[in-house]
Amino acid sequence: MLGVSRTAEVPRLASNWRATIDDYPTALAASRDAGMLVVGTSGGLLVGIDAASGAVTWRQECGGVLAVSFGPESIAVGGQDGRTRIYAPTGALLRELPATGPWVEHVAWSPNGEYLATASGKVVRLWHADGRPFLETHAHASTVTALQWNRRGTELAAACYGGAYLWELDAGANPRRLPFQGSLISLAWSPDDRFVACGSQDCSVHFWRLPTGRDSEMSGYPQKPKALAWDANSTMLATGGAPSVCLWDFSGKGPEGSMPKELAAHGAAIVGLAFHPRKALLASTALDRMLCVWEPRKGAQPIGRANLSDRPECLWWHPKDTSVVTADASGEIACWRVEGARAS
Amino acid sequence: MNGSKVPVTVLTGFLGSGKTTLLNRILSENHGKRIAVIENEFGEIGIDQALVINADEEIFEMNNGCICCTVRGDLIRILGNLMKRRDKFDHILVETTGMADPGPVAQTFFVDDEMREMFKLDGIVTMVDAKHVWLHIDESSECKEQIAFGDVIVLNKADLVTPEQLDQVEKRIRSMNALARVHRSVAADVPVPAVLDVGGFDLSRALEVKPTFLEPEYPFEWAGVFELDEGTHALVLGDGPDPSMSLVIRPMPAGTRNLTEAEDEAVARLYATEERRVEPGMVLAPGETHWVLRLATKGAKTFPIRISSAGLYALYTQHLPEELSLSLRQETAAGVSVHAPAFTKTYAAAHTHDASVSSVGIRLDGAIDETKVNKWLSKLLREQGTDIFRMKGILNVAGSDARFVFQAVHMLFDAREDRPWGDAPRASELVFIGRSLDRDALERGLRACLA
Repeated sequence: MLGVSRTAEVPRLASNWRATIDDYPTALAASRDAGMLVVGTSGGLLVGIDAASGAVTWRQECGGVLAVSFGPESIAVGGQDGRTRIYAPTGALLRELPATGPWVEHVAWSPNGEYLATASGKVVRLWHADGRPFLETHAHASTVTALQWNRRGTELAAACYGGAYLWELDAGANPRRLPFQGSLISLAWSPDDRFVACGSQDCSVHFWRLPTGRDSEMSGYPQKPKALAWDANSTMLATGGAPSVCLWDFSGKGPEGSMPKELAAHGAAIVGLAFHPRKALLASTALDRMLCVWEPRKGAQPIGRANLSDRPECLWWHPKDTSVVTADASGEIACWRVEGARAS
Repeated sequence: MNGSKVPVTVLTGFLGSGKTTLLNRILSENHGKRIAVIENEFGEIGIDQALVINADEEIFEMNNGCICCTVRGDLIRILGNLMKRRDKFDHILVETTGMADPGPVAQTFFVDDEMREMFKLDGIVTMVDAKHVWLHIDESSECKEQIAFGDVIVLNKADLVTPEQLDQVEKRIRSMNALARVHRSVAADVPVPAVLDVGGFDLSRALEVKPTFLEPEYPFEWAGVFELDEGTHALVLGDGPDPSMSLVIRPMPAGTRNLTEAEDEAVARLYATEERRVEPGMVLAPGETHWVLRLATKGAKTFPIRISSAGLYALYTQHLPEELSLSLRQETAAGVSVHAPAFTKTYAAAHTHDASVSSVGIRLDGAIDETKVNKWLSKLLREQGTDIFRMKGILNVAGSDARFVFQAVHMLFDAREDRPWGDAPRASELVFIGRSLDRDALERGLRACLA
């Protein structure tokens, strides 16, 4: 309870803007130039928001949204009707990809926008930017629970029961399997492409060093560590699964045998974690409906906090300044200004 | 966290047992509930006020291999998403495939922190095809598990069998699961509240349904009451399957003609005492003796019984009289007369019991020591949790004026103090449902916890 009393002294973050979309947001993505946000909801709403002002610029009705990815030119939306839809940044529906059966739970544009990856049930599909099908993987051991490209855009990682699979962009290629005896529920590829970290259903975090294949496990989390975030230098991995953020040090020899640094301020389980894409700033959200911002290299106390209206759902750092955007279950989208952060 | 948890009903049963019929009945009845259905078998139904989602059963075993941590991954994903909808649901129905083990479905709502936070498991409803269940009940472990896990068992298609056959199925089901409420139905016509508001995992309702404790098992199969004169009578036995048989003969309490359960219990205790082995020709006397008749020789064997005062006597035999051509005779001047019993009773023999899946109910009057019982139960579940599907109980804990209630699904254990005993008679009651349960060991275990 030490952490809770401390937060009283933590400065409250001021908001740049707030927007309300009146539905439960399930996914948020930003355009490559960070000028625009798009939010999808469980009820089937897709909303374009101006990232600078918070003004809602357009609304589109679609099926219940499970995933959104903003490519260089268009927005991919995965839905509960088993379809992937492609929208222009203006909100106009460009095309609908052929139905793939189960829910489309993950969509991910490759870094250069050449391919779109979608996960529907146990199968991952790759599509050309114009919607032509390109590749289809074999059925994974279970429904795919996470999908992420590496930074170079050469490989695609899919997590599921029994491990993570790294797919190269060659037809007929066999994936590289990162084996795990259990169910993986999240995946985070380090920005230097050297590590893949996964949260698992059995309350542990597993990571693999891709160059050597050596893997390790961090166990003992009280809850499922679904939230994972790498810092920009790939030297810190932040994990949820507890009311404290656990920070594992990946500099030097790595975290084996070390204790994590714990960031305690939340009163309930962490559900969202995001590092600023350039600065050593970490944002965390938890079931206590609080947002905390940390400078983990400097101290174990938050440098700012804000109360959200409901359970936090989405978290995004503006890459060009130090503002952070949250979306909560009430449908409130808020942009919080982080001041006094001198981290570089 | 906020608000009340959404109740979940798990609907299980073999293909063709009537799950879909029950589902349709629930969805079409005007009960005012908004229901979401997670279906796993082919076929889609669309009905107003309900959402039907098809899903593949995805069983997630955990890294540590612990059976009680095995959960249904598809439910975690789908229900997690379902709760993000504005149009909230009052009730969730999960239909399993015919071959499903209900364990992982039930455990999902206890093991997974998100599911535990949002949902509460209300009950497991097992549909049983009254006619075809005999095809599976002996061989299929899934069929046994589905029956063993059920809070409510719907004995469906009752019109396809005779009343005797129906009784027989019900008896068999109750021998496997003494805790379930059994409803008989034709075309799944059970009242909706009987399946949607069960409270099967609600601790305060833990033993609200009094378990139908199994018919007691006795070490004897038959008893007869005979009116015997003073003098010598003869117990004559032919050739039988066993080289010996145990027997008790004792005078009936004054004024009684019929054998009561108290009598049976008293004799059962005698059967546990040291036996007196007798060869043919040796004389038996009524009383508190556990006789074992040696029957190794071929042909008719006679054991004289000396009666010193005329009256009613009860004869308890390990086997049925017809198995051994047993008779009680008296030689008189007019010849040999065979006594006909004034009253007879047969008993369920322990050795005919279903050894694979069964229920064991234990009742104990004395107060239980809390530390001892905690230790015993945690060790028991740790070692035998795989075979113990479900357990429920009320404990009379020494030094406490309140009932202590608990339940377990495999190794997952949930317990707390409940309402005070008040004037109600204090007793501990435990029911275990599982595979290869050892009644004696369980009873000894609980007895050792007496304060």
